[in-house]
Amino acid sequence: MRLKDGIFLSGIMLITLLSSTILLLFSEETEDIFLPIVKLAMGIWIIQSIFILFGHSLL
Amino acid sequence: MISFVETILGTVLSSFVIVIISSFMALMVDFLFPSFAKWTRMLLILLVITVVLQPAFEHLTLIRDIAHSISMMFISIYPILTASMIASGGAFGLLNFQPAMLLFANGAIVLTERVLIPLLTAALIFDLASRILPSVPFSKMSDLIRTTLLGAVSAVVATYSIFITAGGTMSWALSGLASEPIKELIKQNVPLIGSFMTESLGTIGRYSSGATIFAGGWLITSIWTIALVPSIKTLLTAFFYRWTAALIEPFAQEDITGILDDIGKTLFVLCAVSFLIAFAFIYTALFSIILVKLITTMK
Repeated sequence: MRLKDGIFLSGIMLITLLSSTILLLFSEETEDIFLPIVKLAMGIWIIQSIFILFGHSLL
Repeated sequence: MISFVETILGTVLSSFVIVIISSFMALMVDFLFPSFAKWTRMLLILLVITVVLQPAFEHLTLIRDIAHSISMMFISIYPILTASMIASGGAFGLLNFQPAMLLFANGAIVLTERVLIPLLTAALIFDLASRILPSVPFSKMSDLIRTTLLGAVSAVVATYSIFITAGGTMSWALSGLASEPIKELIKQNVPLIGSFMTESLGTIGRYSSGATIFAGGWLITSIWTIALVPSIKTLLTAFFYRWTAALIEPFAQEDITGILDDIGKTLFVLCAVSFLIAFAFIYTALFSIILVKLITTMK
């Protein structure tokens, strides 16, 4: 998995689209609960991608 | 010229008409069903993205394809050029050309194809992601990518001008009273890359004014036109994005105008990147012309 394969970007796009669709379905109160989970998912995806890009191949 | 503008108008304007009409329809739906506002916003954004991204990605692939074919052309033409440089021998020392410049031009093209255009696509996607989900923004990242790309492109063009002035034979004839107002006009009115455009055009002009003695004005003009058509097309499209954003700003949602504005900004940077290709093309074309001319006249 490398940056040039576009997996990092498609992952970000996928998370964005999925979470915005789910946020549409929820009401205003549940949105506040759900938003930190979205941020958590995005953070995990970014940090994992950074590790794969710059880390050891066995990581 | 009119038909050239019409082709751009035809492809780009039709999608912008859809954007304007659909944002107005969204306004109506918002007025009639206020409780439906969240869905209307999302559907409008998705519609606008599908319609508006197509011209932008068309230009990205256009510039990438041009870069690819030009780098292939260079690979095939450079052995011949180098061989004839050696064959022409002393005649060539007259002009004080730098052979390393050819390598540099090809390097710039490969850089464009492999690094700059993928990064621009990434900037576009980051912009869209931060507009769709405003609570998870990537705006700093896309801004950073754009400014870095602009810096890299300007650095490459500055290196070109160093190469050319180190050659020593080229002189700048265009810089007179005539071109100063035009330069100032471009610098003031093209956002983001205006001063870059005047600088790089000045560098190409400095080179080609030296070559006019050998190649003739009309030939130089036609080479300039061929090389700069993709850049001008991209520039016009970028302006269309910004004009549409300005037009619908009073009644459309902020997200829609933001998306249009961001895509316009990215296309301005793409225009700057396409200057690199134009540069390499102009340089190689003039180089070949002068070479052939020298070989035929020195015999």
